[in-house]
Amino acid sequence: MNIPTEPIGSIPRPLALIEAIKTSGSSDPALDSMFDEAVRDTIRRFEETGSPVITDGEQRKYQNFATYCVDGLPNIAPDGFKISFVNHTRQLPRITGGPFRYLLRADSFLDVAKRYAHVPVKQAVISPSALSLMYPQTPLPGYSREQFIDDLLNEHEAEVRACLDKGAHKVQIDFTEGRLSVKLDPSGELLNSFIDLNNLGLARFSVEDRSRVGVHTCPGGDCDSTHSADVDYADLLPSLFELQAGNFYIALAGERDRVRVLKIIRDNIKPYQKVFIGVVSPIAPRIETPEEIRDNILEATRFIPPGQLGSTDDCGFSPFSDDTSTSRETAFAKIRARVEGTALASKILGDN
Amino acid sequence: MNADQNDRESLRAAALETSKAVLAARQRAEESLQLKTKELADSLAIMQATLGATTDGILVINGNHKVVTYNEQFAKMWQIPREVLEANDENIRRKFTSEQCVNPAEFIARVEQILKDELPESFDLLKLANGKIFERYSKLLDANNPRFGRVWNFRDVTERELTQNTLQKAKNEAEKANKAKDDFIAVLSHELRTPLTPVLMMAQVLRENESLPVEIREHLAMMERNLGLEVRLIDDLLDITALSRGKIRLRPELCDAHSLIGLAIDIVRDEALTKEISIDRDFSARLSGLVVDPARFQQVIWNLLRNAVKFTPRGGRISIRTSDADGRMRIEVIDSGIGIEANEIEKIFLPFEQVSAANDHRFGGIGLGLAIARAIVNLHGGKINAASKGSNQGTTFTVEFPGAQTPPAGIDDASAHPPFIPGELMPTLMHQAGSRIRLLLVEDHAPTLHVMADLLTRSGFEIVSANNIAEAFEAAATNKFHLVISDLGLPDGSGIHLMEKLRDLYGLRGIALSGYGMEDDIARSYQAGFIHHLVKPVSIVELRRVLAKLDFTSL
Repeated sequence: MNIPTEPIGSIPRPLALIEAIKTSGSSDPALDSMFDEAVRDTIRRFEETGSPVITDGEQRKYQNFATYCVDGLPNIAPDGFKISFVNHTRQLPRITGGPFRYLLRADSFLDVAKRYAHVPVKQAVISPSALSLMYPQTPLPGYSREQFIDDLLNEHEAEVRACLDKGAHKVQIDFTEGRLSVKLDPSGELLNSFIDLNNLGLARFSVEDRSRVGVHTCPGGDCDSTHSADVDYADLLPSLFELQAGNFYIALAGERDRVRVLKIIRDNIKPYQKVFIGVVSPIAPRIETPEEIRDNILEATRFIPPGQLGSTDDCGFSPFSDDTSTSRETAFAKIRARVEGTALASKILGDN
Repeated sequence: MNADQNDRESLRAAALETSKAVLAARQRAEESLQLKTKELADSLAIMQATLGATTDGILVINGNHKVVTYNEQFAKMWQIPREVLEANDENIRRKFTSEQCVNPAEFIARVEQILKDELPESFDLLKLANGKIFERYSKLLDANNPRFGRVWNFRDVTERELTQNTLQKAKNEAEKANKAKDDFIAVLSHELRTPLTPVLMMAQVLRENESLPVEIREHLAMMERNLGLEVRLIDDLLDITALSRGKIRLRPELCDAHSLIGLAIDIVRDEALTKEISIDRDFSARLSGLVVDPARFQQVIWNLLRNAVKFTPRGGRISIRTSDADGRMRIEVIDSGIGIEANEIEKIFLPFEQVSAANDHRFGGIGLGLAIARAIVNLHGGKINAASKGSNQGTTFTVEFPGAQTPPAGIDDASAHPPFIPGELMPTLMHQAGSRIRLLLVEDHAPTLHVMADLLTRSGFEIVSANNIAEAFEAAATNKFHLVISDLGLPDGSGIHLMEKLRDLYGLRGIALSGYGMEDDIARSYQAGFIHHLVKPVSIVELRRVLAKLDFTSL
């Protein structure tokens, strides 16, 4: 039995690149060669871990995992809503008028990555629900919230379809605000609205396409902290599995009671869905051993049919590009452990 | 409330506002979905009704070879129980259908090939063990996505195939019968012509002998004419057969029609004079240039004139006139003969018809001349018709040929198309090469061989005779010949084969003598190495003329 294993996405950027962005700004054409070199090096090291599926480490998402597609738009302002982490905050951009269009689509990252890759490449995109938070509380004159939602869904569809068409192994929709929404609105109304919005996007794809689309949820890791680790998965997962996606990437390594979460997954996963459980924690400094990972996967098979199970990282290793809390070496060491641990589990399951 | 709480509250409020817009979007999407679902249901209902209305059996499978839909006719044609279809197992389904075929393995192999090769379309015939024949057509549902599925269409074509087979069989039999008829006519022609050769030759030679009394020579001339008539009857028979089979190949060239008409007049002139019939000509056409087969064109005019002479009483008159007619050339042959009733005019162009003379053998002939003339004119894209004011009012035949143009310069006299010239004496050519010309004469018809050898020897040639191929080879091995004159139908093989061998072994060329005069026969002769093909009965005059034209130093 082969248990698939996939990364979430981001790998810490080379320090020289981070410094250069700070100095010159991300749009300086002189940085192109550094970006390219960062992608090439990331893919080389990714492949050296034996990972059967890789990403470009999101080296070209020079701001973060969420706003890469809108950074630089003329109709946005930096003073959007703030997201509070344990020790710091991040601020979303705010849209100031319509129409809403992406400035950059993730399939352009895929183009570059596929030039260097020798194994399947996965591509992460931001969820429509995350970007929906860019619309301010007070309606914008001449550009209604409804128009914005329509534009947003169109842009999202175009991005996912382009990635699928260009041969992405999987397209992963980052949905870290799922857990955050429960924190903001314990009634669950906001979460359900996010699920509805993302399902409106997914409904535009065929069943076959959706089997190559996944959704990632986590407590929002950044600078070794999270924005919603305190939210109980029991409040999130039942709704999460209502998403019409074929794959779910769920942070689990950082959970205190994994078995409880696994039971919730067992009770809510649908037969056509696969779940990739997090077996390494990017914000934990210690590198997990392959044996620990093997055991965690084997533990998960007690609750989830092996045919629906995969392994992944709890989160990207550096969702925000300026995050230097984890080194590239640590990230790849953890990935190597995941790959090896998953192989060990596969072997045991195969032998059985 | 601290700043963090404020931020969080405003984010929550804004998000909840957005959720209302999401809800509205969802409602719109659901309405759209409902509409599309209804459209789809309608479309599906139409499709099902269409499938049900066709007499073909239709099966649609998806990329995993599972049944998507089928019509009742499909189940009925293959007598597949519903449970087999509903089991949706391709192996069971394929086994059920293949076992009804004459060759189940072939059926399965073909299906597997179609699926494996993802053929955009396929078409074949299935023979069932119960005698039925199904036409099977399949097509990918989406040519760009072979895995989307395929539609299979089955049509019961048993009756059509059986009818086609019956028709094909009938056609084959008819063709076979036609060929047998052609062969029979060819053989008949050969058998009729062969005995005429020695008679004709001897009559000609004797007629040339001035020491014989005049009345004897006139009798001989009469014999010659009658032999000529018989040959013409045979020629007509062969021509009408070839024309009706489309086996006549034209050799068109730009000719001066007036010149060709003049030649045709010359041929019938003696016959007309005998009946004291005058032939007037009025060549008014300025555009008398035509692209025609000159021999066939002459044949048309000659047939019309011969017909006119035949049906015009002694002392009558025949006129032949030409005129321009809007890019066509019109030729009219007008006689003062017995005429034709209006209701019988079209019949005269039918083979073997002789209007009003059906029971009157005064006029002779077998009634093929006009049919041949019309067929040849039609082949040239022209038209021919006849008109008569009635019995004893004479007849006018009008022929029109398309593409009339200025006649070519330099061929406006008869010399460009030499006519048959009877009775020319043999030029003294026997010593062309500085010594006597030695001919190998091969003929199995003893009288013909004897007469030809005698006449040619008297003409100064050195003749070595052979009755068959074996003797011919023996003679060729021990003598050096300038030329071979050979019959084609020999007892121990074909003269064609003989010529090929003699050409290959000794570089010899030859003249073919054959009772077979169809175009294909002549072409085969030339391919074998003959440089002339003379159709029996061969006149000594004709043979001499051909020999006279040969340059023996180059043979």
